[in-house]
Amino acid sequence: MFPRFIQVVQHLKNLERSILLSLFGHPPKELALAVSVNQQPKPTPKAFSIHDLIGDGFLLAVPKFRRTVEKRLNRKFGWPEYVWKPFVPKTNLKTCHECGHHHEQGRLCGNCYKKIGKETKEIQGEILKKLGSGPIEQDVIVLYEGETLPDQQKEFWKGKRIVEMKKERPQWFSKNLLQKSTQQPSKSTDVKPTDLA
Amino acid sequence: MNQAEVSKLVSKLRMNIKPEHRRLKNLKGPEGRIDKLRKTVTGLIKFERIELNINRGDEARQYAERLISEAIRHGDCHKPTMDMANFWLLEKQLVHKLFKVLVPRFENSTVSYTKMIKAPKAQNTEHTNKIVLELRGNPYPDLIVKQPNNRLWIQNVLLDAAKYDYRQSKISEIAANIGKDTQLSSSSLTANNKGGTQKEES
Amino acid sequence: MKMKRHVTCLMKKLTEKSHFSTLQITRFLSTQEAIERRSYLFTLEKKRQIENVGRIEKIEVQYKGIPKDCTLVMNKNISTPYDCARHLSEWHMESSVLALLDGNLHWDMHRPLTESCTLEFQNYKAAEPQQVNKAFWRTCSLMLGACATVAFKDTVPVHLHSFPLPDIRSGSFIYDVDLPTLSDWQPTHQEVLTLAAEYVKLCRKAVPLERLEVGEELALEMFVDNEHKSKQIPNIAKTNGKVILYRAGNHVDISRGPLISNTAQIGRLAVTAVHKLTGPTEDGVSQLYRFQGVALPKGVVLDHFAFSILMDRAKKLNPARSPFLKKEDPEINEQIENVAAQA
Repeated sequence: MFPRFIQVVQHLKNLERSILLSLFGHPPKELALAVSVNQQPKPTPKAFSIHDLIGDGFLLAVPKFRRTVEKRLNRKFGWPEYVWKPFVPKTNLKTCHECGHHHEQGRLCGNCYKKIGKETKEIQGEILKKLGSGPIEQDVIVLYEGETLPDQQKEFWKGKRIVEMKKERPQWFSKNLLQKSTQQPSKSTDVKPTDLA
Repeated sequence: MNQAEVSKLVSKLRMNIKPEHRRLKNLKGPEGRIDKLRKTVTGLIKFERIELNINRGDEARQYAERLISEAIRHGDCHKPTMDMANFWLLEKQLVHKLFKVLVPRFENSTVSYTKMIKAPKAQNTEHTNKIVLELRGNPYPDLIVKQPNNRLWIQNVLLDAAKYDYRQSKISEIAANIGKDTQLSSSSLTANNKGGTQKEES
Repeated sequence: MKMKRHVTCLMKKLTEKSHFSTLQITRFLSTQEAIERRSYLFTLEKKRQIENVGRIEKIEVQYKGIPKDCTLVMNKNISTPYDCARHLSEWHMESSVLALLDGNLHWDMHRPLTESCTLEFQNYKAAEPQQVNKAFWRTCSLMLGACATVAFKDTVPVHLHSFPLPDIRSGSFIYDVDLPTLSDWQPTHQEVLTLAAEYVKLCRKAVPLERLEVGEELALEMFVDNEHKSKQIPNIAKTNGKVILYRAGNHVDISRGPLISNTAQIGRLAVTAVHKLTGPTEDGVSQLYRFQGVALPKGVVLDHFAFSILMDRAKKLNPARSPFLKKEDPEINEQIENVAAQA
């Protein structure tokens, strides 16, 4: 009902307009505003260029295709033979019987090696200092402070060079670990060192 | 087959040698590889204990062993050996060390002249494999402290007792046999005597 | 269920300190029931003893050894050396066999500490392992008893008798067992292997060896089904009225101790032979079976040939003191003394 009514009203309006136009025509030209008449040509649509887009802004690279599930899993977990990313418990750890630290089976204990390495460096430095740049013709014996030469035959000492360390022999650097350590170490210097390097 | 015996041409090293040498990636190619190894061998003879990556260490070890072995075999009056020492030892004072110190040290050795031990891995380094390369008989503290065998350990006590038991049983066996032997010999003697008498009679 | 009720009733009686000699307790428990009952009594008594500690006091335990010396503050009469080891590392827990208090007293790993002391752990590779070895041998004997009780069918009653002092140089650890229904049993090779398999199964359960000191009355009650043990108990408790019991899993036995920490510390082992012992019927038994075996601690690697020598030796009858043998026989006593001197 209502749309019909609107239609009728519309028709009536159209009719009124057409009658008025036929009777009076357009408003007279004199009443129009004075403007230059030369009409601009219609702007032709420009070809699309990437520069339009870039301009001041920026563009993100986005994946074109979805990654396969295999690829995604490989990226996540790695590959067992090459790089396996999840944490795996080590089963080859042992406890050092000297110091109680853990180390890998078949390798030196890190803690002991650090200690030994430091001592080795010191001895190496002393030896280099002692031997100098001349030809090396004698084997080296390292003595620590408070140690005297052990009794040996003279042939044993022939062609040996003694390098003295300016400190006491570390407790762990001894070859006769079989001996009990319950005995208190004596301070007297006439005791022979039980072993030499 | 007029082939010379290989063992007479070169001395046998007391270590495992890979069938193929390592290439030790280097810009200069094989020449650069040899340079690298010369440095390492020189360092080993000089310091007697060095830490290296396993590839370089193991490769240099073979050359060091060969060098010492040749020096022991031919002595310092052998021109090719001297040339070899001259080539491999970059510091010339070490040539003296090789012939005057290391040769006497290793003359009567029955094991390899060098020792290669795996060094501990540093934290978070999965792929570096370090080793410690050393000459035997060096004056430094031992890297591996061998636990001495204790006679009081239970397995040793058991084995000792078993040994004692076995000896006791053997001794008692022998003791028992001694008596028997004398009996046997005396009986055989009498038998012989009897035979003799019989012969005499016949 | 019935057993539990029975036991709780019994405990009540015990706590009331009434004379329970009037209690008629069945001597007809099957072996399995008897084991469970004993274990249950052990649990109750242990619980009671821990509750009796009351107000917790602290003691200072000074640990000496690797990785470094340190001081631990522990609970008096509750904390054991094993607890101290748990503060240190897994390696300490697994490898320690005995604890050494104040440098001279060997202490079980699972026995509560009573006062402040210094503490060292000893394993099989200690510098002076005699006590450790003895503890190991004693434990092996005790476990052999457990193995014997488990191995037989229900129709064969097993009455454990005793095991002598540990003598390692004799080559085998032993347990004398009374098998009343088997008058003349000579185990086949297969049967001996089965016994060994049972033994291995028991050891692989990796149970701790718990220690408990109980009064004579309770001890008698626990071993009510075993006439040999109940005869021995008054003798053992003569000095201070206490009997020292050890439990491994379900099995409870009398031993002077100390024993090792865990059955998992027993490594390679073999039950080698079962010999029949006969003698005068002084204790009312005419014959016993002597179970023999040989074992090594875990981690000891021995060549199969060397171990076969040990096994062959362990097959011979162990000359240790037989329960039948009294001091009248001077010759054999002399032999025993010799062996002891060597050990």
